[in-house]
Amino acid sequence: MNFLSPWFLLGAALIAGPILAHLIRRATRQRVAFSAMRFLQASPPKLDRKNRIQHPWLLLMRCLIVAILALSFARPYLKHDLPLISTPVLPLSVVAVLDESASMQRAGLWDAAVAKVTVAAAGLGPNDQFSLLAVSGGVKQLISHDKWQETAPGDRNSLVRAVLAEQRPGWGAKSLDSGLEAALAEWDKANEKTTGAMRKKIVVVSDFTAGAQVSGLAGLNWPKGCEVNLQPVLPDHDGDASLQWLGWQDTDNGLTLRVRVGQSERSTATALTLQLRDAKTNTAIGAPQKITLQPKDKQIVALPVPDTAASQPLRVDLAGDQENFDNTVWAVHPSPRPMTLVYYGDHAANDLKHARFYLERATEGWKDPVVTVVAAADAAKAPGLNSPPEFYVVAGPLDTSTTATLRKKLGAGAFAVVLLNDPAMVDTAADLVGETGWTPAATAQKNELFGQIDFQHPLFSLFADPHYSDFTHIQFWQPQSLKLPAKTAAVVVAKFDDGSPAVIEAPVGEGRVVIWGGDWATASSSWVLSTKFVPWLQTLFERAAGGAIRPVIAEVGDTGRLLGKESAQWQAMGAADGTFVETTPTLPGVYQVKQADSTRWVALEVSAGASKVDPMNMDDWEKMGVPLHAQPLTSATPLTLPVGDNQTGAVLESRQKLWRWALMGVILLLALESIYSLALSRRNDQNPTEATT
Amino acid sequence: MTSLAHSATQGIDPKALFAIQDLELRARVVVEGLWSGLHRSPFAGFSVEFTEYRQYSPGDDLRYLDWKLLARSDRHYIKKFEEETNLRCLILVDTSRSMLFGSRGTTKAAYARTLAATFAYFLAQQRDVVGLALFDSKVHDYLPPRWKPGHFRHMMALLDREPAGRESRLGDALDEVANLCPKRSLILLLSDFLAPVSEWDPALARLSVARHDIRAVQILDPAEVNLEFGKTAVWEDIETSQRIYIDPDQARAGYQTRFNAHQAELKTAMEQRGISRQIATTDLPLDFVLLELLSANQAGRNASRRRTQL
Repeated sequence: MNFLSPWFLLGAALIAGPILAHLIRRATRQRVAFSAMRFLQASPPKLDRKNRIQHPWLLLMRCLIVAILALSFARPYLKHDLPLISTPVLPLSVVAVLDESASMQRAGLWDAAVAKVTVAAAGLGPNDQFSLLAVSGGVKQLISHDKWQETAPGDRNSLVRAVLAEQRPGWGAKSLDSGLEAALAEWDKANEKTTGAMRKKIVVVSDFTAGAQVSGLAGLNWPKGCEVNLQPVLPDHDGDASLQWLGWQDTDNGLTLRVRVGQSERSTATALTLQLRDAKTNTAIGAPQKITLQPKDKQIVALPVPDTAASQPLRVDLAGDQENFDNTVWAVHPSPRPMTLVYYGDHAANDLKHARFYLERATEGWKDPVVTVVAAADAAKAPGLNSPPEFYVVAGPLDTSTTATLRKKLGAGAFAVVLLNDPAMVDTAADLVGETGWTPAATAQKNELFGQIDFQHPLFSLFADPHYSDFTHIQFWQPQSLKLPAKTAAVVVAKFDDGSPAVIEAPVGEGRVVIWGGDWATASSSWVLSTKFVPWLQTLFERAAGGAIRPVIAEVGDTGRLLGKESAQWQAMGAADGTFVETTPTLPGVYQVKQADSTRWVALEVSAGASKVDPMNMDDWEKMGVPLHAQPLTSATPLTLPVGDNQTGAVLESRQKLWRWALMGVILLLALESIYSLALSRRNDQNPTEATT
Repeated sequence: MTSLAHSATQGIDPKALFAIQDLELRARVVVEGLWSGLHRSPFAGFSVEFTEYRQYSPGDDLRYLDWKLLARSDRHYIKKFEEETNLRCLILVDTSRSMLFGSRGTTKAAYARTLAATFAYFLAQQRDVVGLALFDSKVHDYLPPRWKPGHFRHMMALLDREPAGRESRLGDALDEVANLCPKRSLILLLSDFLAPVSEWDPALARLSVARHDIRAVQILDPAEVNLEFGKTAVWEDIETSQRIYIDPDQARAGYQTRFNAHQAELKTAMEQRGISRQIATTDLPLDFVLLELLSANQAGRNASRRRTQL
């Protein structure tokens, strides 16, 4: 029998403990009380060995327990059972997940991380597999299994070094869960190609900060035998003060830009300065704002923005911090979309009996789109080249030329609402839509309500929630319905109680025409006084303006919410050539985005999670069922490496696991010892040899 | 004597008996068992005897006025009675520390107290007058022999009290008893008599000379008789706390020699004083001991009566 840790056999010397205990116990506990001592004479004690040991079987068991425990700790194995040739070590498949998130920008982290990945790859044998993934917001594959296999074993280390040399930490979020999920997917792909079983190991190289996203790990299905090896890297400075974008705020004193300044647990720099700057010229705006912040504290700072600077891209710089990667916030104020509501109808602006009066008041004060109501006659007088897009409300009959003009504009994407405040308006609506066969129809009653509304349609989807879908209090005192031909592109969105169309939407080219069965005046219906009127109208205007206003500030790697589904082109601020490129930027900053024909400013920020640089609780990994393995990277045993005596022993010992049998023996002996001790004590109780006093 | 006891009753196992916590109940179990064995009436031995008439004087209890005589002779006389008792008994119980020894679960003290309670209960049932004295180095509790309601309960309460456990000085205690009880009585002395005879023999002689009828019951633990007990260890004297290393196998022969010599000396001393002595080991059923005691009592009464006639 051989031992992997023979020095533990010295523990067998602890056998002296029970022996001494059996001797000492005898000397200390022997007291017999007696009454007739007068008749006794002292007898000299016999000190032969047989008499000194009390309960020799008990002592034997206790000695055996100690000896076997020492034996099991020494990790015994039998050398003749050497199955190394018959059962070769399985090849290893390693997926290294390299953290390239923003917090890895900190001093001292990147080089250490690159070194760890290099070591992980260098320790692999020719039959082992390796792939490298980088995590920064999304997951990027740097070296695939195929690439590794294609490369000659001698060139693989060079390949890893070359790939890592091109890498730099990015600015995205630390989505480690996505990285590990991608690593598991790598094996799924590899399994389709390789038939032999492999040992699987994921090596995660990261600074493991509190901002890391690991919640997704809980749902992962770990393959059998998979090991996750966490390789932390430590920065030169522990502390960091972070700057985080919160938003714009309109106050009585004007526009303010709100940012949050936070300190990490181990931050030492407490005196900080905030400075608002013009992002283009980098000139300071206003005086620097000094704040004092203790470790773990946070403070929200509102920086006043002058009206002149509100339309410009801005930046806020934090000074006084040791780590600079998260000390700048970029800001762009969303520019409102102007629209012109052109009102067709010979009605005065202050005439309560007509829709114009209510439209002017309903659209007043909107932040987006900003609507200006003009009469059709005034709009025709001064059509500007850069005039904002128009929205048409037709409350009176149109002549042929106006209809043609409107149809052209509708075809280009404009929206119009036709109010059927007269039966003749049905023809106007039909002309605008470009269909025939539309005839006015009277409703069954003078007073009508909405009988049926399609809440799936964009016109009314705002009110789809049952909380808001009650339209029963909206009455129509002068309803005007119409009869549509069998073949029409118009869609009835809402019907009156009698089933006749109340609201219709019809496409005209790119644009839309909404036909409303009645007038928008209090004499005609209670619709304009309803709380639903303004939100309904604003939704319609937003649709006309191209949809809800899009955010202009997002984190690096999360540009989807800025762009929607449309393709976009980017131009960095101050780009020399002034060209737009398709590539999504990966650096924080201010950019111009061109989508369709519109161009706007957007700002990309450092991921908020990246600023949380306090160490994460590593217990979370185990709680989420991640099969952690604490062995060093060099434990990957190459098949062709010369196997030394100690390594062979380790393999044999790990297979034979004789220590388990030894421990079972210890447990058995402990049970026997307990039973025997109990029996002894009971025997003493039943056959007392000491006096009852 | 022993054969009589065995024929009368099967004996109550001391272990079962001492499992009963209440001392009075324990005594009752023994006595009732004994009676059922002997088929004797528990209501014998009490009578009220008329002695004389006395002229009535104001203040006398009218209950004892002889109304018939008053009717016949028109004179006021009070009838006087004398309480006739069979026995006036004082039980002396040794409560010293050496009595706290017990090798089989029952200590000598517990055995002695139960025996005292049993005897007292038996006598009380016969309306005999019983007293109690508990002693160690001196008499620390004393109830004079009386017949009155509650007296027996009081006695049980005294016996039930755990002894303080001081050293034994039997001679001093006997002298004290002689002073406390000058009236001629049957004295039942319960002790282990392990102290040297010379320490208490003179006092016992003085007590005997005072015409007391003395019965001694030497209560011993079986281990004290044969030293079949203990193991090789340091042994400690219960009373003096003196420690000696003892191997019982080695010491047994010498112990028995010295113990038997003591017992012989004890026997001689008792016989010289005309005191009957019986040995009760704690494994002996109590009803046996009681029966033997009663037989000895009867024999003692007869001898005493013969002595009086002479």
